[in-house]
Amino acid sequence: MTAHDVPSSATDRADAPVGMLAELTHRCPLHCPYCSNPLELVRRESELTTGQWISVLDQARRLGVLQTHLSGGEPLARRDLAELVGHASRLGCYVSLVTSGLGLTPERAEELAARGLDHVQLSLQDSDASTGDRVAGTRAHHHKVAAAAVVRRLDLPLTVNVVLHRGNLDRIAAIIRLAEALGADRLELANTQYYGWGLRNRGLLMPTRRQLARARRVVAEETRRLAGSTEVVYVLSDYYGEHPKPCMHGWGSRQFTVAPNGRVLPCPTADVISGLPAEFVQDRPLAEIWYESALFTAFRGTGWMRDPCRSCDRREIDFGGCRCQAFQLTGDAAATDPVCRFSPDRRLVDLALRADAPEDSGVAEPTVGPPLWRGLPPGRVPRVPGAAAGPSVVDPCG
Amino acid sequence: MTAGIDPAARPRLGRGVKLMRDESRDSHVLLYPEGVLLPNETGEAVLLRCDGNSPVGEIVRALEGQFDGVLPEQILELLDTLRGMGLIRIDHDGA
Ligand code: SF4
Ligand code: SF4
Repeated sequence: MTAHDVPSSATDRADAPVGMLAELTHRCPLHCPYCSNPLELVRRESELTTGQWISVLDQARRLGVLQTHLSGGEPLARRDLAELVGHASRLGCYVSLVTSGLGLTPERAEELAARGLDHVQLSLQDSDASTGDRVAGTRAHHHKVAAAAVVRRLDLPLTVNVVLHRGNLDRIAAIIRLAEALGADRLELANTQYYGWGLRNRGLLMPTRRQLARARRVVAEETRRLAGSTEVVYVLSDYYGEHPKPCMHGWGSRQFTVAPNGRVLPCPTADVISGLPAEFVQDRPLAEIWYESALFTAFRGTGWMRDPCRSCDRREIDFGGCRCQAFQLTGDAAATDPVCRFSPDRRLVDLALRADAPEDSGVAEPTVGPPLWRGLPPGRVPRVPGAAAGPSVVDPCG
Repeated sequence: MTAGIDPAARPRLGRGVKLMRDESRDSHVLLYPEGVLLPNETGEAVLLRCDGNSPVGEIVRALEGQFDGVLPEQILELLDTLRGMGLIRIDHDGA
């Protein structure tokens, strides 16, 4: 018996999904330059209605979904959030709220808890307000600290999630101390992955090797110190690995994402792969999309693979890596993930590491254009009262 | 590795962990903040007894009676693994 013990067979027959990421809205008061939402954000007018989300939850549960992550954007921007939480909970799903904390007032949190919310995942940008607000592009930090206290008072399990990059890695010890002080049961420290906004801003976000080496030492020490109180999960960017990560445990294998406009995707960033058929919950039953659509069967299992993956004995371990990354770096979604050392395209990743990772003494020039804040037009830089000196073009996060 | 489990201790589910019956899979499933555990039959039987009332010794005896060929060490090891994952707590009486 193992975690996620979904029986996997060598055939490409699909199992029922266990998880759904419901992106209720792309609206968000923050402007994180590494946001995991797609570059093209869904507008409010195109969002599913309450009734449509209820139907999505019903269908998802019938299909086998047990975990629902209600996410965004900022899901608290939806006025029907409590209703959706209550519905998912009544269906028997484990309900997590993935939030920036902005808008999580004591009243709203109490209502969500009363409706059956099981767990809160709260994002933090940095260890203190002046640097955190600068990356968020708005006054956010003190709201997050307050939101964590609210979650604690309601005695809900709290996961704190921090995206790491060149601008905050040197404060990792302080970030861990803050998460501890906030009472996090679990702390996820995830180095930026370079898709979508992160790829667009890669030249600004990529850390130095020395930063990473130091962070690894700090995390190891702190993980030991916190054993038994806060579980620390540290995720390195796969650019530094030898093999890719088992992205989503394989395409269309355990979970799916529903975007605010009802588009169903194998993962939240899969829309970067151009030419994929678009499937919407408004047009077709979810079960049919999961089991039969060309979208979900395209890279399911191992049958789609070419060499080197096809003949590799890791093919059932990492499933050839991330399809979005393969597409974004090579233009071919069926290629071996270029972070793999067996990939003929690995040099693309090595080049990026050389070009975008600044020397340990200096600052790299952005190689992918000027920084782009999520939700702001190119060239616009958020002005945040009280935040550290305005972000410069070269290094917005440091 | 499993030496630390007191036969008198009474395991219960961890913080934020829920055990529920899933009709679509005809089995119990364990739900927790970042995951889902779909236990096999033995695992299911153990988890159903992690209710804070059953001592470890009793769980082991019950499982031995219920399943052929299941060894006490295997059950203790499973309890230890679940504890390591934070999915159950094994408290001692009065502790
Ligand atoms: S990453 Fe930042 S901008 Fe994107 S949804 Fe989360 S809080 Fe909002
Ligand atoms: S060749 Fe393919 S299957 Fe083998 S390790 Fe690389 S990505 Fe994974």
